[in-house]
Amino acid sequence: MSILKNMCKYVVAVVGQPNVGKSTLFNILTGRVERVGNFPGTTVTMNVGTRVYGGESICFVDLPGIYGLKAVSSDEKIARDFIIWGDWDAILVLVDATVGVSGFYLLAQVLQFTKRVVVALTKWDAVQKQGIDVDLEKLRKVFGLPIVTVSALKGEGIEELLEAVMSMIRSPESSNDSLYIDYGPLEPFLTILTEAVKQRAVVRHGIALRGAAVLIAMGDRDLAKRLGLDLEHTYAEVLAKVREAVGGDIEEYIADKIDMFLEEAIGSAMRFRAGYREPVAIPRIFRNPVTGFLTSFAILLSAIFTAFAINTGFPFTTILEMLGQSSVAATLERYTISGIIGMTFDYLKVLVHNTLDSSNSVLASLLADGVIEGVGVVTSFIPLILITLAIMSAIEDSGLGPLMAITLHRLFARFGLSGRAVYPMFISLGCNVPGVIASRAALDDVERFGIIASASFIPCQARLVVMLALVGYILAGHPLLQAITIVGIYFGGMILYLITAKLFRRAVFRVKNPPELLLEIPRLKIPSLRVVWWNSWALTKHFVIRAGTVLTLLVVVVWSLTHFGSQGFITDPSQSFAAGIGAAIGNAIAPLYSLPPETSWKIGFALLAGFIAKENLLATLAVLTGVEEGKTAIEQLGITLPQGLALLAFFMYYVPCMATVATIYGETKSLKLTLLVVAYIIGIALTLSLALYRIAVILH
Amino acid sequence: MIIPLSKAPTNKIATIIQVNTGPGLKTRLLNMGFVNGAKLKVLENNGHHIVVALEGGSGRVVALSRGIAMKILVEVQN
Repeated sequence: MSILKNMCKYVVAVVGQPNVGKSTLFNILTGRVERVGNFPGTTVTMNVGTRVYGGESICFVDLPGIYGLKAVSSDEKIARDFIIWGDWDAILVLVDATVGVSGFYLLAQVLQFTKRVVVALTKWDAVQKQGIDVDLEKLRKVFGLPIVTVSALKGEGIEELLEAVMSMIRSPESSNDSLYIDYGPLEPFLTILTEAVKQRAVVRHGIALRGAAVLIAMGDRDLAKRLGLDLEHTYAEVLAKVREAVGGDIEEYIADKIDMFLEEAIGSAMRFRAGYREPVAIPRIFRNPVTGFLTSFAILLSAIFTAFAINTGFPFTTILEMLGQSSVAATLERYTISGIIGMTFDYLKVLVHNTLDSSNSVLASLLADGVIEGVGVVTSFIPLILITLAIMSAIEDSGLGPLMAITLHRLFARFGLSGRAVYPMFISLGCNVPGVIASRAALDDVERFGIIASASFIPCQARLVVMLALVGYILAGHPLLQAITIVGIYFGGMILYLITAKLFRRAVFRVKNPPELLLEIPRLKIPSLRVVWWNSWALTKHFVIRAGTVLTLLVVVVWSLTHFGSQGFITDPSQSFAAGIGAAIGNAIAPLYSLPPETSWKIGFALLAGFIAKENLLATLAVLTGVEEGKTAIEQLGITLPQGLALLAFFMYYVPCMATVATIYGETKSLKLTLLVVAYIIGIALTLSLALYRIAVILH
Repeated sequence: MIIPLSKAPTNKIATIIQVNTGPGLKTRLLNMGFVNGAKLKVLENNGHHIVVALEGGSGRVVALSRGIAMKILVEVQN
């Protein structure tokens, strides 16, 4: 039995087109949503919401938002495979009636597989507001299904929907009951395919194999392969005849037929009351290319700055320092979220040292400087990631996202990216890991890989902390230069992001044309707090579980490497194991930057730790130099301005952190491409940093 | 008058005659409702991207870049 059947008595698959309001309804319907592993054979997490209804538990499985079932990306494959092979008891299809007849296209495709379906007409408040009269009785009669109207906004129809789902689950399963659309000249071919599939496939009980035959006839090669069919080889002759009969394109013919069926069957069931409907308005500000561009950038930048300001006080602390108000800046920084978290963990560390130092100083050090330090680092990340992601998902949920993508498309198209590439870029400012994952917004695989290869050039929040500390030291007393350097690093990162995307598109994939934009623009709305919370909290939790444990562990490893040497527990880090490893890396780069050996091993070790997680660059330097703060740690290194600048550039771009590399591999599923990306990034960073060093030496 | 969608004037209704994109894009277009005979209302056409509303202006609103719009042949009523 599947995991799902262990969790709940009944399983309901939830499927709908993008912008149908699935996330909002899903959250209201189920209340609690959990991530339950991945969909079989993919890296896509399965979100499951549980609801107890009438004393029995139902698991609602959130399938990806798709327009149709024929596979063009992994999203359709996941939904299609779950319908054909999944362990569900009923399928809930969401339809947005404001979209009109084409909003029922996915439903029709699902119905060709099964009629164990409940339809929810979403956004019912909007349907009425727009003056659309929907003849529900006619819809129920045409499809022979329970159809429930719901308004997630007003919380209406939820009980009725659950009731309908429950009675569908309880209804006896009549085998192979499905929607039949007559495809005329294609019918003999569909019969052959259905028979062939029947010979090979073991599918969920009650699934109509004709549904699979239709998808295969439409050219779903992935499904054909999964069912052991080779269309072009086995059926070459039949195919040629069928193509001729339908005038060339079978897929187009079937899509047209489904559309014609819907028009005929339900076209008259949905009418607009004359003069009622408000026009779909694209806000004027987004219509003008210049104001649209500026607005989009302003929205994204203010979003990022809000996240920064709440967490680290940046940019206000920097501005205050520029104005010579260092003490005010320090006070402000103390009372930002990361400041308060830092104070709390410092207090805990002192407490542990005071209590345990006299009896067992090794244990005290392990607990305070290893475990508590590690947990503190992870904790300081939580609010930051949460706030960044919350703002991002609010933008997406409001419908502003697509508008921004359109206005930014012109700029991005020059670099071989579509306007969709704006999300990975801005999310990467928070953290590269969700940034790489956000490449899923890409239009095609080539663009997606371009984004994956480029995302880690964008300095993330962790690198910002390193950046601020380094810049604060090497350019001490020059607040203007500090600001210019920081802006320069971000600007450089974005340029590298864009250039890399284009380079990979041209050189690796040999694609010359810019990607094309095809994007639905939903109506603007006030984002749903529940959806925003769920999206951001789920990803944050993911970070704490996946990255957090690794991070804490790592800090403890760093602690042991720096507190132990061949003589056992030591207080002088230069005698530790860390010194040995760091020296090896440090010595390799030392000659390039003329670094002294006592500094180079520390930097070498910090680089190693920074690969595991960027925030460790500073944390490690702090541990190695035996001081509290990152800034002071850098002072202890005694490096020159040119060395500092070169290090800064290298620290910023040198390699994606381990978590990002793992994510790159997870998203590309290719070790070769992953290694290529990592090697490319290291190469670029080294070249840049050396060039900067040479220039700085000459100028200094 | 049969023209590529990329040349369709704003506020006109355009009927799809033919979609000539590559297979992946074509599937997405068909799934969204860009089938033959579908009526699109052109909401915006600035030469770089074009925004249309399906079902004669009452359906879903979709933005297409010029490259895609060039490959969709439509008939525009005068």
